[in-house]
Amino acid sequence: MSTFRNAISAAVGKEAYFLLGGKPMKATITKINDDLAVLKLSDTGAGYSELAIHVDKLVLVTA
Amino acid sequence: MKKCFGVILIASILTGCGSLMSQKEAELAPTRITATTGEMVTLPAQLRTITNKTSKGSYISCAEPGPDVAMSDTFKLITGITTDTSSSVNNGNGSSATAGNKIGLNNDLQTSTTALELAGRTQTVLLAREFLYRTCEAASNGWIEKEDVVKAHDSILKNITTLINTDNKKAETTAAIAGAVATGKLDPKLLGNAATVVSNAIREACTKDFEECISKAADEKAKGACRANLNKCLD
Repeated sequence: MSTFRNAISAAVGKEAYFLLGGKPMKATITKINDDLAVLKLSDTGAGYSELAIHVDKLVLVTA
Repeated sequence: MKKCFGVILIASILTGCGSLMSQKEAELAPTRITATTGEMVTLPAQLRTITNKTSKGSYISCAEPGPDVAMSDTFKLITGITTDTSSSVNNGNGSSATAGNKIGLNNDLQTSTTALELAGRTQTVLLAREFLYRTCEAASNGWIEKEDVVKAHDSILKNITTLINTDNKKAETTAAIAGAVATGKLDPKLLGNAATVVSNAIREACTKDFEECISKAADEKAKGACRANLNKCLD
Protein backbone atom coordinates (compact mmCIF):
# COMPACT_ATOMS: atom_id res chain seq x y z
CA MET A 1 0.00 0.00 0.00
CA SER A 2 1.38 3.47 -0.93
CA THR A 3 1.29 6.60 1.20
CA PHE A 4 -1.11 8.30 -1.20
CA ARG A 5 -3.44 5.32 -1.22
CA ASN A 6 -3.35 5.32 2.56
CA ALA A 7 -4.39 8.97 2.53
CA ILE A 8 -7.19 8.28 0.06
CA SER A 9 -8.37 5.31 2.11
CA ALA A 10 -8.58 7.55 5.14
CA ALA A 11 -10.70 10.01 3.13
CA VAL A 12 -13.39 7.44 2.28
CA GLY A 13 -16.83 8.74 3.19
CA LYS A 14 -15.63 12.32 3.64
CA GLU A 15 -16.39 15.19 1.27
CA ALA A 16 -13.32 16.71 -0.34
CA TYR A 17 -12.17 18.56 -3.45
CA PHE A 18 -10.59 16.56 -6.26
CA LEU A 19 -9.01 18.02 -9.38
CA LEU A 20 -11.13 16.71 -12.24
CA GLY A 21 -10.64 18.10 -15.71
CA GLY A 22 -8.30 20.69 -14.25
CA LYS A 23 -10.96 22.09 -11.92
CA PRO A 24 -11.56 21.40 -8.22
CA MET A 25 -14.80 19.43 -7.87
CA LYS A 26 -16.47 18.62 -4.59
CA ALA A 27 -16.94 14.88 -4.24
CA THR A 28 -16.94 11.99 -1.79
CA ILE A 29 -15.05 8.73 -2.20
CA THR A 30 -17.73 6.16 -1.51
CA LYS A 31 -15.53 3.10 -1.91
CA ILE A 32 -12.07 1.94 -2.87
CA ASN A 33 -11.46 -1.49 -4.23
CA ASP A 34 -7.83 -2.21 -5.06
CA ASP A 35 -6.98 0.50 -7.63
CA LEU A 36 -10.55 1.54 -8.36
CA ALA A 37 -12.08 4.49 -6.51
CA VAL A 38 -15.75 5.42 -6.82
CA LEU A 39 -16.40 9.13 -6.54
CA LYS A 40 -19.81 10.63 -5.91
CA LEU A 41 -19.99 14.23 -7.12
CA SER A 42 -21.70 16.74 -4.87
CA ASP A 43 -22.84 18.89 -7.80
CA THR A 44 -25.11 16.98 -10.17
CA GLY A 45 -25.58 19.86 -12.63
CA ALA A 46 -23.57 18.04 -15.30
CA GLY A 47 -26.16 15.25 -15.58
CA TYR A 48 -24.04 12.55 -13.95
CA SER A 49 -23.09 12.03 -10.33
CA GLU A 50 -20.71 9.07 -10.02
CA LEU A 51 -17.29 8.45 -11.41
CA ALA A 52 -15.14 5.35 -11.30
CA ILE A 53 -11.57 6.51 -11.42
CA HIS A 54 -8.16 4.84 -11.11
CA VAL A 55 -6.80 5.69 -7.68
CA ASP A 56 -3.49 6.82 -9.23
CA LYS A 57 -5.37 9.45 -11.22
CA LEU A 58 -6.88 11.11 -8.20
CA VAL A 59 -5.60 14.52 -7.15
CA LEU A 60 -6.72 15.68 -3.73
CA VAL A 61 -6.91 19.43 -3.19
CA THR A 62 -5.66 20.32 0.28
CA ALA A 63 -5.30 24.09 0.21
CA MET B 1 -46.61 37.23 -65.58
CA LYS B 2 -43.26 38.67 -65.92
CA LYS B 3 -41.48 39.12 -62.78
CA CYS B 4 -39.36 42.09 -62.29
CA PHE B 5 -36.27 41.37 -60.35
CA GLY B 6 -34.03 44.14 -59.17
CA VAL B 7 -31.00 44.09 -56.99
CA ILE B 8 -30.08 47.21 -55.15
CA LEU B 9 -26.72 47.46 -53.53
CA ILE B 10 -26.67 49.91 -50.73
CA ALA B 11 -23.43 51.42 -49.56
CA SER B 12 -22.28 54.83 -48.57
CA ILE B 13 -20.94 56.88 -51.38
CA LEU B 14 -17.92 59.00 -50.72
CA THR B 15 -16.74 61.52 -53.21
CA GLY B 16 -13.25 62.57 -53.95
CA CYS B 17 -11.45 59.44 -52.83
CA GLY B 18 -13.63 56.78 -54.39
CA SER B 19 -10.83 54.67 -55.76
CA LEU B 20 -9.11 54.40 -52.36
CA MET B 21 -12.18 53.48 -50.26
CA SER B 22 -13.02 49.92 -49.24
CA GLN B 23 -16.75 50.54 -49.42
CA LYS B 24 -17.92 50.30 -52.99
CA GLU B 25 -20.37 52.50 -54.78
CA ALA B 26 -23.94 51.36 -55.17
CA GLU B 27 -25.13 50.33 -58.59
CA LEU B 28 -28.52 49.46 -59.93
CA ALA B 29 -28.10 46.43 -62.14
CA PRO B 30 -31.35 44.96 -63.39
CA THR B 31 -30.99 41.45 -64.77
CA ARG B 32 -33.31 39.34 -66.82
CA ILE B 33 -33.03 35.60 -66.26
CA THR B 34 -34.35 33.30 -68.96
CA ALA B 35 -35.11 29.62 -68.70
CA THR B 36 -31.98 28.68 -70.61
CA THR B 37 -29.42 30.90 -68.93
CA GLY B 38 -28.39 31.47 -65.39
CA GLU B 39 -26.04 33.87 -63.78
CA MET B 40 -23.75 34.16 -60.82
CA VAL B 41 -23.53 37.38 -58.85
CA THR B 42 -20.57 38.04 -56.58
CA LEU B 43 -20.46 40.80 -54.04
CA PRO B 44 -17.88 42.12 -51.58
CA ALA B 45 -18.41 40.75 -48.08
CA GLN B 46 -18.97 44.14 -46.53
CA LEU B 47 -22.05 44.89 -48.62
CA ARG B 48 -25.61 44.14 -47.69
CA THR B 49 -28.24 43.37 -50.31
CA ILE B 50 -31.92 44.14 -50.32
CA THR B 51 -33.96 42.32 -52.92
CA ASN B 52 -37.20 43.88 -54.04
CA LYS B 53 -39.54 41.75 -56.07
CA THR B 54 -42.98 42.28 -57.48
CA SER B 55 -45.21 39.36 -58.34
CA LYS B 56 -48.90 39.26 -59.19
CA GLY B 57 -49.40 42.77 -57.89
CA SER B 58 -47.72 42.14 -54.53
CA TYR B 59 -44.40 43.41 -53.37
CA ILE B 60 -41.79 41.33 -51.52
CA SER B 61 -38.73 42.87 -49.95
CA CYS B 62 -36.04 40.79 -48.27
CA ALA B 63 -33.10 42.44 -46.52
CA GLU B 64 -30.01 40.35 -46.06
CA PRO B 65 -28.53 40.28 -42.53
CA GLY B 66 -25.94 43.00 -42.09
CA PRO B 67 -22.32 42.20 -42.92
CA ASP B 68 -20.07 40.76 -40.22
CA VAL B 69 -17.06 42.71 -41.31
CA ALA B 70 -16.62 46.40 -41.87
CA MET B 71 -13.66 47.96 -43.55
CA SER B 72 -11.96 50.88 -41.93
CA ASP B 73 -9.77 53.10 -44.00
CA THR B 74 -7.18 55.29 -42.45
CA PHE B 75 -5.58 58.16 -44.22
CA LYS B 76 -2.62 59.86 -42.81
CA LEU B 77 -1.22 62.81 -44.57
CA ILE B 78 2.21 63.59 -43.33
CA THR B 79 3.23 67.02 -44.26
CA GLY B 80 6.53 68.48 -43.46
CA ILE B 81 7.72 71.87 -44.35
CA THR B 82 11.32 72.68 -43.88
CA THR B 83 12.82 76.09 -44.13
CA ASP B 84 16.37 77.03 -44.20
CA THR B 85 16.97 80.70 -43.93
CA SER B 86 20.39 82.13 -43.59
CA SER B 87 21.55 85.67 -43.73
CA SER B 88 24.67 87.47 -42.79
CA VAL B 89 25.41 91.06 -42.60
CA ASN B 90 28.85 92.41 -42.18
CA ASN B 91 28.86 96.05 -41.61
CA GLY B 92 32.05 97.70 -42.26
CA ASN B 93 34.29 98.59 -45.07
CA GLY B 94 33.34 96.56 -48.05
CA SER B 95 30.68 94.94 -46.13
CA SER B 96 28.47 92.58 -47.90
CA ALA B 97 25.21 90.98 -47.02
CA THR B 98 24.01 87.66 -48.17
CA ALA B 99 20.66 86.07 -47.71
CA GLY B 100 19.30 82.77 -48.76
CA ASN B 101 16.03 81.05 -48.32
CA LYS B 102 15.12 77.51 -49.14
CA ILE B 103 11.70 76.02 -48.61
CA GLY B 104 11.02 72.34 -49.08
CA LEU B 105 7.66 70.57 -49.05
CA ASN B 106 7.41 66.91 -48.30
CA ASN B 107 4.06 65.15 -48.68
CA ASP B 108 3.65 61.50 -47.87
CA LEU B 109 0.25 59.91 -48.06
CA GLN B 110 -0.04 56.76 -45.99
CA THR B 111 -3.08 54.54 -46.21
CA SER B 112 -4.07 51.38 -44.46
CA THR B 113 -7.21 49.35 -44.49
CA THR B 114 -8.25 47.23 -41.56
CA ALA B 115 -10.98 44.66 -41.49
CA LEU B 116 -12.96 45.19 -38.31
CA GLU B 117 -14.88 42.30 -36.83
CA LEU B 118 -18.21 43.69 -35.73
CA ALA B 119 -19.14 42.78 -32.18
CA GLY B 120 -22.37 41.39 -30.75
CA ARG B 121 -22.77 38.51 -33.16
CA THR B 122 -23.30 35.42 -31.05
CA GLN B 123 -24.05 32.09 -32.71
CA THR B 124 -27.70 32.41 -31.72
CA VAL B 125 -28.00 35.87 -33.26
CA LEU B 126 -26.32 34.78 -36.51
CA LEU B 127 -28.49 31.66 -36.80
CA ALA B 128 -31.70 33.57 -36.12
CA ARG B 129 -30.92 36.25 -38.69
CA GLU B 130 -29.97 33.67 -41.29
CA PHE B 131 -33.19 31.70 -40.80
CA LEU B 132 -35.37 34.79 -41.00
CA TYR B 133 -33.68 35.88 -44.21
CA ARG B 134 -33.88 32.44 -45.81
CA THR B 135 -37.58 32.21 -44.99
CA CYS B 136 -38.14 35.51 -46.77
CA GLU B 137 -36.01 34.34 -49.67
CA ALA B 138 -37.99 31.09 -49.96
CA ALA B 139 -41.26 33.03 -49.98
CA SER B 140 -39.83 35.43 -52.57
CA ASN B 141 -38.86 32.50 -54.80
CA GLY B 142 -42.34 31.00 -54.49
CA TRP B 143 -41.19 27.95 -52.53
CA ILE B 144 -43.44 28.62 -49.55
CA GLU B 145 -46.74 30.46 -49.18
CA LYS B 146 -47.44 33.55 -47.11
CA GLU B 147 -49.11 31.58 -44.29
CA ASP B 148 -46.08 29.29 -44.01
CA VAL B 149 -43.84 32.34 -43.50
CA VAL B 150 -45.75 33.19 -40.30
CA LYS B 151 -45.48 29.56 -39.12
CA ALA B 152 -41.77 29.53 -39.91
CA HIS B 153 -41.23 32.74 -37.93
CA ASP B 154 -43.05 31.24 -34.91
CA SER B 155 -40.90 28.13 -35.12
CA ILE B 156 -37.71 30.20 -35.40
CA LEU B 157 -38.67 32.27 -32.34
CA LYS B 158 -39.36 29.12 -30.28
CA ASN B 159 -36.02 27.61 -31.27
CA ILE B 160 -34.21 30.87 -30.52
CA THR B 161 -35.73 30.86 -27.01
CA THR B 162 -34.48 27.29 -26.48
CA LEU B 163 -31.02 28.24 -27.73
CA ILE B 164 -30.92 31.28 -25.44
CA ASN B 165 -31.94 29.13 -22.44
CA THR B 166 -29.18 26.63 -23.26
CA ASP B 167 -26.67 29.48 -23.59
CA ASN B 168 -27.80 30.85 -20.22
CA LYS B 169 -27.40 27.46 -18.52
CA LYS B 170 -23.93 27.06 -19.99
CA ALA B 171 -23.01 30.53 -18.75
CA GLU B 172 -24.32 29.71 -15.26
CA THR B 173 -22.33 26.47 -15.11
CA THR B 174 -19.19 28.24 -16.27
CA ALA B 175 -19.74 30.98 -13.70
CA ALA B 176 -20.28 28.41 -10.93
CA ILE B 177 -17.08 26.59 -11.79
CA ALA B 178 -15.20 29.88 -12.06
CA GLY B 179 -16.58 30.89 -8.70
CA ALA B 180 -15.42 27.67 -7.12
CA VAL B 181 -11.98 28.03 -8.60
CA ALA B 182 -11.54 31.61 -7.39
CA THR B 183 -9.26 32.04 -4.37
CA GLY B 184 -11.00 31.60 -1.06
CA LYS B 185 -14.20 30.24 -2.56
CA LEU B 186 -13.54 26.58 -1.76
CA ASP B 187 -14.84 25.39 1.59
CA PRO B 188 -11.84 25.73 3.95
CA LYS B 189 -13.19 23.01 6.24
CA LEU B 190 -13.08 20.43 3.44
CA LEU B 191 -9.62 21.59 2.46
CA GLY B 192 -8.52 21.27 6.08
CA ASN B 193 -9.95 17.74 6.35
CA ALA B 194 -8.12 16.71 3.19
CA ALA B 195 -4.90 18.22 4.48
CA THR B 196 -5.34 16.21 7.70
CA VAL B 197 -5.78 12.83 5.96
CA VAL B 198 -2.71 13.52 3.81
CA SER B 199 -0.69 14.56 6.85
CA ASN B 200 -1.76 11.44 8.76
CA ALA B 201 -0.87 9.18 5.85
CA ILE B 202 2.57 10.75 5.60
CA ARG B 203 3.11 10.43 9.38
CA GLU B 204 2.08 6.79 9.25
CA ALA B 205 4.46 6.04 6.39
CA CYS B 206 7.32 7.85 8.13
CA THR B 207 6.66 5.97 11.37
CA LYS B 208 6.58 2.63 9.55
CA ASP B 209 9.92 3.37 7.88
CA PHE B 210 11.36 4.44 11.24
CA GLU B 211 10.24 1.24 12.95
CA GLU B 212 11.78 -0.86 10.20
CA CYS B 213 14.98 1.18 10.40
CA ILE B 214 15.24 0.88 14.22
CA SER B 215 14.65 -2.86 14.13
CA LYS B 216 17.61 -3.28 11.78
CA ALA B 217 19.87 -0.69 13.48
CA ALA B 218 23.02 -2.36 14.81
CA ASP B 219 24.27 0.41 17.05
CA GLU B 220 23.44 3.83 18.43
CA LYS B 221 24.93 5.54 15.43
CA ALA B 222 22.55 3.66 13.13
CA LYS B 223 19.64 4.39 15.47
CA GLY B 224 20.57 8.07 15.38
CA ALA B 225 20.42 7.98 11.61
CA CYS B 226 16.95 6.41 11.81
CA ARG B 227 15.76 9.23 14.08
CA ALA B 228 17.23 11.85 11.76
CA ASN B 229 15.43 10.29 8.83
CA LEU B 230 12.18 10.30 10.79
CA ASN B 231 12.52 13.98 11.59
CA LYS B 232 13.28 14.75 7.97
CA CYS B 233 10.28 12.68 6.86
CA LEU B 234 7.89 14.45 9.20
CA ASP B 235 9.21 17.90 8.32
